[in-house]
Amino acid sequence: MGNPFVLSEDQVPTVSLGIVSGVKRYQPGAGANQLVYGNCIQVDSSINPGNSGGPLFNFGGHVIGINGRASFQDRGRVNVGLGYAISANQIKKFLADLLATKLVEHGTLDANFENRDGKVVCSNVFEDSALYKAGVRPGDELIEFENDPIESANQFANLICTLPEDWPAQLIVRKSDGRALTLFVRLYGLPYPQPERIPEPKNERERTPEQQREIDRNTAMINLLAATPGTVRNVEMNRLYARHVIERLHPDSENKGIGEQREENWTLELKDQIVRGKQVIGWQEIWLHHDGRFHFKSQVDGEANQVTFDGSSFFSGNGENPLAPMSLPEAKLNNGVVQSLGIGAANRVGFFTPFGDAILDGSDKAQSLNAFRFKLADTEDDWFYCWLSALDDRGGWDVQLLKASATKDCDPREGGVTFTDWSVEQGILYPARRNAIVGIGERVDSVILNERAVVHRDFDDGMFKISREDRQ
Amino acid sequence: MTAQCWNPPRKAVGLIAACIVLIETAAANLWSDEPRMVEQVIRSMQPKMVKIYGAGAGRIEGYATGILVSGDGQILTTQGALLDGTQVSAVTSDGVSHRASVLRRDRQHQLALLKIPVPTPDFFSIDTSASAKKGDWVVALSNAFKVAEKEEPLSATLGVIALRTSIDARLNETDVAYKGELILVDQITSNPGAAGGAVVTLDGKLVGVIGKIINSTETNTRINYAIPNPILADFLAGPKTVESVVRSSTSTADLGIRLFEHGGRASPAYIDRVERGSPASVAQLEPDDLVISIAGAKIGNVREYNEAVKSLQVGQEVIIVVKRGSELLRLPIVPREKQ
Repeated sequence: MGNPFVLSEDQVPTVSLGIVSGVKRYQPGAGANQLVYGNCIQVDSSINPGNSGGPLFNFGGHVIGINGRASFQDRGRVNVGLGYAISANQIKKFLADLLATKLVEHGTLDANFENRDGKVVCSNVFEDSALYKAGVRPGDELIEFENDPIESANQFANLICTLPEDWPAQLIVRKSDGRALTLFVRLYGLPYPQPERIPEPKNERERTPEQQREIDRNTAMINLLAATPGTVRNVEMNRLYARHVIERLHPDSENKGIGEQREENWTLELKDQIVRGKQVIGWQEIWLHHDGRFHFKSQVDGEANQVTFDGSSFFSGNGENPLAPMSLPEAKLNNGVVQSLGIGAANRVGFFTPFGDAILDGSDKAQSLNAFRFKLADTEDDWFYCWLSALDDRGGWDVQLLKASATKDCDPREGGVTFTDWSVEQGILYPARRNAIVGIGERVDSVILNERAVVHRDFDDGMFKISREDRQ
Repeated sequence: MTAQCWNPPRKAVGLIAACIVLIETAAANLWSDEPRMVEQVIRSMQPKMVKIYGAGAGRIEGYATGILVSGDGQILTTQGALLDGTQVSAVTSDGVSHRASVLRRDRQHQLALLKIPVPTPDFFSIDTSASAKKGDWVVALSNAFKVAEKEEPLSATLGVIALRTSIDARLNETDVAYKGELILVDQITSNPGAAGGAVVTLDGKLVGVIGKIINSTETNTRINYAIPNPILADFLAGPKTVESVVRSSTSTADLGIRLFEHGGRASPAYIDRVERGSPASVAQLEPDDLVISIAGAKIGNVREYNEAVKSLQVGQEVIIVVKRGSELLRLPIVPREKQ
């Protein structure tokens, strides 16, 4: 569906019908920006100039791709029965970046792979690339990329060019000594060629409004491509989209309807076990009040910790000494704070509000799902990140909190928390399982398993109040 | 090949929703079983087909498509310059490249027979009684534009048979290399590398193979066609016996007509003189009549007239169509022995 040859003057798109001629097609770079189409859908429905950007539907009415280009020959730019659409699966991986109003580059590993003796082998790797730092050397065999077994260098090229810059790619590599390594690296961006700006004509005064519009239209693409890749170009629009997604977080999102049955004045009490490996290493408790205040208490390896959020500040202690105020950077690193605010966010009690306003940071993966990554900054410009799933398989909204961390890659020192097994108690959502994780690959450090979930009505909120005597 | 961008109109979302409804309705009426059949036929044809690579030169593509036609690895494809190189290879659906030898070529129908040294359980049998007719759905499979490589499946397009007809090579031979019966289809098959591809019905029966590109030098348009099974079978059966070749070249039929030949053999077939007492005179033909057809064969020029007369049987009545003034006359005529 599209507007080929600008035939539609009333905004009703032209519809053409066809079959899928082939899938997983690769179309080498063409046009001014050498746009490569990887893993794309080939169709025999007419694709003509002007169809680009239009949706490709299946008979279920689902958008399965965006029509982009076609094979043309010396006979001019008219349909010859071979059109190509960017697959919906690729679009989902770029969508968050695009909604974040970024110019997104395609990803690369900064390494080359070639076919050798029936294997796909690294032929060279840049020494300052993440792959090299992760231990990959020339001669290593690529076995799996993003959960797809790799059988040829072409297949790998076909896959990687459907991923955006900064995508956390998962690889399995076999070293020369037979060891298999599972790696997680963020992709580098493949720069677009910088377009040349059209020089401003001198006789500016003589332009009619139509001429000006024409000039603006012609330079729009050039201005877009001249933007710095990976930076938010329009903060206002970005925040609009960010709000749009966050507002769909359960429980009030249309398809859940869970929040409706909950009481006004509720307090959620959770008691969880903390397990590392197969060992129970401790327990924790969370009391979350409906206004966002919370009290967290844990005992791990015999060490007691507690945090209280009184609505404006965080206080920490060990149950014996008086409470000490906690700085925001400290709070962001505290596993109990992250869990408590995360559960609050899921129940629409603010959205990690103490850490600042959220903006959409871009496309990412969390719990192996396509995720929208948000970041929040307080006045100190100290970031906090959280990941939401946004779309289900059919492209409908299904917004859930997946992960939160003080660093984008859940660095070993800071770590992060993943939220799973969302359950409901009297209209209040809680993740029956949380993992304390490390790294892009979300290696599990310990598991937090819920044992008891109670919702209290008209709970005494004294627990969330911090008096002068309590403080240091 | 280039990509172009289009800014969707603001109203697009709502309109798209409206159009989904349209498509779904269409799907229910038109396409109940076909999609599955199409998918199945596309899948099952792949092992019977090969990608062919040879010599390319300038704007002539060095690649084509072919169909396996025997268990011992014979491949039917179109004749072309790519077969002239030192090496021709055929890539089977498992992605393996085999060296192919050229067994035979035919210039009239632009076909070629190759062979690879590997036996195959999957091949097309060429059914000359196949009765695909105008309006039947057909799937065309080919490696147009070399989109598929190695084991990647060939591209498929869907269409219907538009017409079964014949082409008379009225244009200069360099424009239309092909001459004879053909099947026109309404999907686009006339693409580089598509020649030699298969055109099959939705129940998987071969209708013909995609012919070489026929491009009008005047309008730059192309016809999308397949060379039908009977011609393929004829070609596979081997060269005609010497006897039949001799008979056609020393035909003895004659009508007693002399044509204007001042413009050469390509000039229109106007009658200059009718021999008294000849079959033409019996049939009441007159000078200045323009011969349009003989025995159903269209006559465009003197050469075609001569060829048509050669193929007639002495003593067997046929119909000759002539144009006299603004009138078309259909007249029976009985050829006599050449004197």
